[in-house]
Amino acid sequence: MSGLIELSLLCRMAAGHREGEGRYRARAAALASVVLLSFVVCSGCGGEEAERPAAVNPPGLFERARDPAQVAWGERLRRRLRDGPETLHPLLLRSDSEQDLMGLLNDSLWNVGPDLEPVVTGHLVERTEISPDHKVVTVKLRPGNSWHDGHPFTARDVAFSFRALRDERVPAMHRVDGVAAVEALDDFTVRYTLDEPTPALYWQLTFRLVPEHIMAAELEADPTQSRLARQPVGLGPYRLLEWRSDELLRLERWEGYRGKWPAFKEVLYRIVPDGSVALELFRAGEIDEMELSGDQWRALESDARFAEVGVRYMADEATLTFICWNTKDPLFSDARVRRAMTMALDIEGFIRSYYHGLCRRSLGPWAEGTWMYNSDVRPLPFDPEGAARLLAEAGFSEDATTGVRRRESDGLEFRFTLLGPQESKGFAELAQVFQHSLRSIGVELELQLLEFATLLERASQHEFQALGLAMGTAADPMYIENRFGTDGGRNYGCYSNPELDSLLEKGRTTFDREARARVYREMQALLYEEQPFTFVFFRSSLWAFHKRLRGLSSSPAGPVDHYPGNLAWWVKEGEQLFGERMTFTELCERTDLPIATWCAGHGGDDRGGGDRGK
Amino acid sequence: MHSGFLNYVSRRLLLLVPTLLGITLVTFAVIRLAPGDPAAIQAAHATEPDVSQQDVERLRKVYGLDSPVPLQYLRWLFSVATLDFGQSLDDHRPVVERIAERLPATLSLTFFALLLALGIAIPIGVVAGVHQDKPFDRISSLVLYALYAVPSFAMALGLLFLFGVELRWLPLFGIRSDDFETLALPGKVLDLARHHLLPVLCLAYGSLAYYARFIRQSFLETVRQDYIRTARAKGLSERSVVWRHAFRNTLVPLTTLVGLLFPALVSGSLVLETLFSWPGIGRLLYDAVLSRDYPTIMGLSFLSALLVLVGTLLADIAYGLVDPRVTYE
Repeated sequence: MSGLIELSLLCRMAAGHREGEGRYRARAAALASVVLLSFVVCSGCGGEEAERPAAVNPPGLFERARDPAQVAWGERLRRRLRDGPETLHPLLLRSDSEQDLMGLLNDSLWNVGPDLEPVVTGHLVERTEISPDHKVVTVKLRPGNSWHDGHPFTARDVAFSFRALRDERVPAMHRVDGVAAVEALDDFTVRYTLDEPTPALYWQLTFRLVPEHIMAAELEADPTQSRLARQPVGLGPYRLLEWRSDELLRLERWEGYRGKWPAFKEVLYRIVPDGSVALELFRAGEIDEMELSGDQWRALESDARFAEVGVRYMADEATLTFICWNTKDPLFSDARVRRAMTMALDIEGFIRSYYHGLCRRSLGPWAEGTWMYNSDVRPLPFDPEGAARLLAEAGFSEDATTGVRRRESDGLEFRFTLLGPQESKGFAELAQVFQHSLRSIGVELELQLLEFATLLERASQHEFQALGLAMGTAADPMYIENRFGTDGGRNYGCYSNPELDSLLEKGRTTFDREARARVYREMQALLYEEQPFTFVFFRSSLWAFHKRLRGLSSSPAGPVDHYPGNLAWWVKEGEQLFGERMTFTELCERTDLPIATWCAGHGGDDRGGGDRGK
Repeated sequence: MHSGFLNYVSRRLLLLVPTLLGITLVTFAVIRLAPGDPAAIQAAHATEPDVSQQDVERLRKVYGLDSPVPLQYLRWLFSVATLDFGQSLDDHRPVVERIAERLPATLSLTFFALLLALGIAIPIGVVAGVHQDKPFDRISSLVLYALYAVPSFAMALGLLFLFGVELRWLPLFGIRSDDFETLALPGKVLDLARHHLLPVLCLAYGSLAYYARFIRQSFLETVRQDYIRTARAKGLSERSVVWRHAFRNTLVPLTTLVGLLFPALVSGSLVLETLFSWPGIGRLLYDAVLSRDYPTIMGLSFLSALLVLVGTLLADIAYGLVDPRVTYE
């Protein structure tokens, strides 16, 4: 009996492995089938595990802390990272996990809220003035804030951070292009000057801040060698206590923080690369959150042990899987052909059968529910016959001898190679479905899976016919220019359409939100009509959270990668499991700051607003 | 004989330099000929929505990737000559520091695994050789080959589940507990031991079959030698023949083997390090390859090449020490 359970779990773990980690895929799949076989054979003698499904999105998970006395202020949060951070230097961040950590260790003047709208960091920024021509922004900072080492935070730090970002020797990725100058007018006044006025102002102006008193000397010597990379000195609500590479990071709430205090006294990041091991850790109560694969999500439905410790979370996420058509390729320069391709792919069927319905079909670059989303766009139907008609219309007629369509004008055969990332889960399966369905209308697809770096090189040099990838679109819609604008930096498929370019221009220069929304809705309709991509699906955020956690917010960027993200999570007094007990009164005694007015635990909708201070 | 030995060693040491040069040249060529570009990969992983090709070009310049590849190799070579292995493109720290940080975890894992594997394989191999084709020989080889056939990740997951989840006897991940720093010395040793147990086991069991068969074969060759016949003819007990005369000579070929295993000590194991969340070299190398962190890849392959060469040299020297018939003339 116990052997049976063990077997079934091993089987589940192996299957989860196949989902999560592409690198072990082949071996794990072979193992899974062997174990599965033995499991099926003895399933008749099985035991009865209680069918107690773990809750999905229970209301308690999203409950805000209304009263600071409810909160357990001494609790420890144990997060899981798949990959450890490489650097915590604010100017050199690249990965999601680095951004995630930086959100706790440092503050910016503006953040991105769950709805992708900017959120002003109220304890740093007193007020913002925008010049009538939208080109000069003057920010008045609040005095009294300091870096973790006690050094006061001033406007000079902001101006210095900008100067460091723009230093040619600093390998920073984000350089706030579009901002001409950032100057400190006095200790608490910063003036930003923009090249062009922009409606996505705060997206443009935001950059990470570094302490001038530490980095100035380093910038003179060797800007890549900064002690901030391993020993960050930030402005955020947490300080770094310990960092063991590829093992863990330990953060502690900083008692000099003048913004809203987060509920957890300590945050532990455990680096657990393997998904199935992470799930076992979660089930054993060793971590408080983890992202799940689709298979894991399903397997947890009837997992009694999981239900004792955790709940499941599911939400739409703006991570788009797409097939990019190279419009410079003679096969795909015609929009009718691209439409035919999309009509030959049974996207909904694939989502149902492979992803168990856990993804949402996409009808353009933006996720449903965002302000720029156009709900009037209708999906192209799955219709191979209609696709065949479109291909014939575009000049590709059937060839009885080879079975492959051919263009009469120049004899071009309809054969193409689809490139995809080796590491991705499900892409090969999608391509197989596609291949099968295309064959029925006389089109030959050959799939080639490449390692990510290689794929990227082919993409950026436009050396491909069709390419499958995923991208995040949780940002201001004007950045879509990068993908579809004629001169877009990541326009892999060389798509160029004057009509779209003029819409992009309009979106960039319109300031009224409603008018902008209309522009982007029109743009989405045009993109869907033109199909430079076959927009396949948005994946869902699938997570497990410890059931004592509350205060979660959902965002197209996922439950973590936005503000306040995990800064608003909390645990109720009485449900605390780790660390020392600390009531609100005890918390207030620990600091001479008047936190009683600040520790609203991010309650209600007043997140980040200028609702506290002197 | 003595001057011959010194001559031999200095000649071998001199040979090290051109060999190392050759190895680094080939490695450098291979990783630079492979498609992919660290700057482009970094741009692709960036969370900012407006990264462009210009950003990639700028980074390439900062990293010195815009100059001709042969020139880059020469630059690398010159800085290595001053023992500077450069900075990682991933975290901008000195490569040496990154390797040194992860080396202890990998060394202790592989060292104990090797110790365990040899500790079990040597007696099994000798006993199997003594009882050639008898039940012990057959059964032990069957069991060892069966173990050899189990993929280590499956074994690791199974053991983790059994001891970490079901029985809760052993930790599920990592090299030490969160509160490691607060423990007293015996507590620290115990904590490390508990964390080492499963990964060491998983790394060791697969090589058991190989070592045991190697020892058995070497033993069988030894017992065919004249001096064994002499020992038997003298009327020594079988026990004395096996353990005093045959066994020690059985171990001679093992010195070469251990010399070759030397570099394996530091190369780590990606699969096991991933499953056990072990902060070792295997994951470092894997991540470096994925992100085309050229300086880190070069640093690690240099280390490994150096150890291969030094390992074989030491093995050859040790061979002469344990076997008086070998001369260095």
